[in-house]
Amino acid sequence: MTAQAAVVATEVQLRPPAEVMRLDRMGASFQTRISFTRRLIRRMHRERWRIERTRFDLDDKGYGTALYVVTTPECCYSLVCFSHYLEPEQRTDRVIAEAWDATFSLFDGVPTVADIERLAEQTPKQEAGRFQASELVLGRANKSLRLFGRVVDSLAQGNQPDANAINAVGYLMRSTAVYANGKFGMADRTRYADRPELAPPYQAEMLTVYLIRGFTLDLVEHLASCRDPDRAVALDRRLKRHLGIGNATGLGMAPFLVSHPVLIHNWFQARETALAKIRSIEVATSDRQARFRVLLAQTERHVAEWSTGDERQTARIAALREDLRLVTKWAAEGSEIFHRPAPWDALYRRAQGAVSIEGQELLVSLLFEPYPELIDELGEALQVDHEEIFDPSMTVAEMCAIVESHYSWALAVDFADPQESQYFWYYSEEKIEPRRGTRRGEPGVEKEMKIAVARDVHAFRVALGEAHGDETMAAFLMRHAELRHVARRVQIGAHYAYAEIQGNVISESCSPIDILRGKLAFFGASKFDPKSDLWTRITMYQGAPLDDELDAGDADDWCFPVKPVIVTCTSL
Amino acid sequence: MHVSLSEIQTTVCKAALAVGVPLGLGEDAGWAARHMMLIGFGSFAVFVDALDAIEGGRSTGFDADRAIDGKFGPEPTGLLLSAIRAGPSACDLVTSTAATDIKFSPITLTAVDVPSVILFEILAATVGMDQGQCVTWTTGDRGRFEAICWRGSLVLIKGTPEDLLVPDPADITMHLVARKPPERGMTVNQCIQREAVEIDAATWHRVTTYADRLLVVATETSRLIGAGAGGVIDVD
Repeated sequence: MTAQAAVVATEVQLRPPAEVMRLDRMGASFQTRISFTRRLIRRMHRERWRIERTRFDLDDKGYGTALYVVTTPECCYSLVCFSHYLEPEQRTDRVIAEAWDATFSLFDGVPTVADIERLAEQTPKQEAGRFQASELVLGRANKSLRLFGRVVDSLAQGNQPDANAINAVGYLMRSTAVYANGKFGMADRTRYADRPELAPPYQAEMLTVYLIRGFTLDLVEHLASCRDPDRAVALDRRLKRHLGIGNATGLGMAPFLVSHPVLIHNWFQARETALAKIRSIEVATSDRQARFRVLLAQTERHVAEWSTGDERQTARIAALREDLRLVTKWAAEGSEIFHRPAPWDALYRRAQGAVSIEGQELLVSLLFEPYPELIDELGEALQVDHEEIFDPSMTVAEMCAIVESHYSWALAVDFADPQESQYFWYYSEEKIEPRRGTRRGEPGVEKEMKIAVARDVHAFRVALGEAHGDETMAAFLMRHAELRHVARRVQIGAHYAYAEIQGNVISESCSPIDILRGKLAFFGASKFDPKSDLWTRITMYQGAPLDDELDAGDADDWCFPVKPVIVTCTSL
Repeated sequence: MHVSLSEIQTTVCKAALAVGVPLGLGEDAGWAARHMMLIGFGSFAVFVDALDAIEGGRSTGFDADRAIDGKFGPEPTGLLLSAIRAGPSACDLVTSTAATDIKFSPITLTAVDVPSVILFEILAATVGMDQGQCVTWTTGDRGRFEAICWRGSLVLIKGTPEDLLVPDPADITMHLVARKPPERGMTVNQCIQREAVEIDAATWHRVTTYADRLLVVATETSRLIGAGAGGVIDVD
């Protein structure tokens, strides 16, 4: 049945950056239709990408080499997988790890035997390896000790693993780093940014992670089959789909976001534009209402199945369940809200006053779902394809005006209070792991990362105040070279409303995990499982089509997946 | 060894920070190095020479009061003028001249430590400009070098690419160019080279040694709580 066209009449304004870019709201973000994983799966489906396992030389312990070749309409990419033995005392999600259960390279094209031999030398070394422009992505993953062996055991005994256990963890392996864009000699993004399938942000990385998920599913079946060829069964397809790929993420994402203001503007601007479009719809037709209700009900189950050991997130999930009950009540069939003009706007406004921030952001995600024709195109232009030009002819007075109007959030921070500069961020000599230390007490302050935007803007404003208003930035910066990066940044902030995380990242009150979640939601992450306020685990691609399901049915029906009800056995 | 453009850009920026250059100038140096490697022209070693000159105390910044009038000279005198420190401000001055229509004489930079670094700073700065910049200098026996940077492309008017490898200090003159340069001389456009950038390992080691100074020594405290992951070994 063809969906009835949405009529957009009213014009709802975008939510302001002062609301959207606050840490607490970033830290309540959810995946949406424009998230990078969603976008990639849609393209794979639309273009009928083919994924073939062309090599699977793994021994009966699962160690060896595998190769997956992806054929798109224009290009080929290959995931080269190396599965290794890992000493238990070396098992860590941290950047400082030296060994992993599996390591991966995404190769541009189909690698030769010589390429694979070279990668077999380099890929397991990860950060210590050197790569070529033929490699696009480097990654690694470790088995989930809670689940991996348990799944193999069940399959080898001819049984399906417990769906509850699968749901509780959500993945067989957890990636602990995914590198691209020229790291360690790999291809710069400019090499492939003009390819439609890889032009939007992080598509090469998301493809890699998707392929790793497929490898983990093949690996458990292989191990089960090796252990007991006669009794082993294949993993039920529905359970397979409910297994995503895990990821452990730490502090590194936060400095990345701070240092890419135009990029994050594009992401948030797209999401806010999407929300404004939906809120501007004059009438919610019955078919769109129905789609929304179906998804809302599924999301209630999804949230009910979401558990974490983190107390703060557990409390938030509990609140979220209540929030969803309220939204369900407001959006019930025949509800008065749908008799008003702009009903989705009314629903959002009602939620703003009554549910948690996490509930509001979940609603934002759900509101996008019934309207792919309005939303999905917004996910096509999230990349940055030009350099920002600094205007040195801008005067001090003009710059002051920008600071006052766009950076009031930064000027409001009281840096006389030591708590506002409690922390510093740095790279450790241990594998360049990003870390956060206490300014008064830990060594390395003089090597602090330059990511304290609020503090920098304060210093900039003071210096501007001491200069003549008609002086150009060219002249001003001759005397204040230490503020050059701030001047450049403020000019960017003037043009890109969502360029800044409106929080003080060195404050005692800053929870970096809020920044991490904001970014991970754009990736398409779900089931956030914080391990501290600096570190989180997530699940990606849970519920997503398997590689042999990409050209079937609706490949975009997998957001907020729920635990399948199973129990069948299939011989391998 | 093979190095990516991204590595070049970020490593030069970090190395500049490590020798005491402010972040904004380091960012410009990183962009300049990237642009140089992008067009496959010049030598990466000039950037390391420029860092060495700062680190070794042979190069310094400039007198801002004189620079505002378009005359960049080392301050204190007797040292060389650091291309990394002076280049961005010289580019700013030329660009702001174009925007404000204030008529300047050509901008001069005296005793620049590594002239070709300034050239690539200009090249990067012109990517988004509607106008170009002409830069000239004279070194040793090789005579006059003149090039026009136009929207990220480089046109050699006088001299040869080999002139960019000469490490001798020189006085530089810069001025605005309002029209696209004629297609005479050697023209090098952006994006000629996007695949492999080869840098000799010794040169790369020199720059990464600087950059690595920004790394903080690990302590047991930082290892355990600095990254926030809890225990180091995972069992789940």
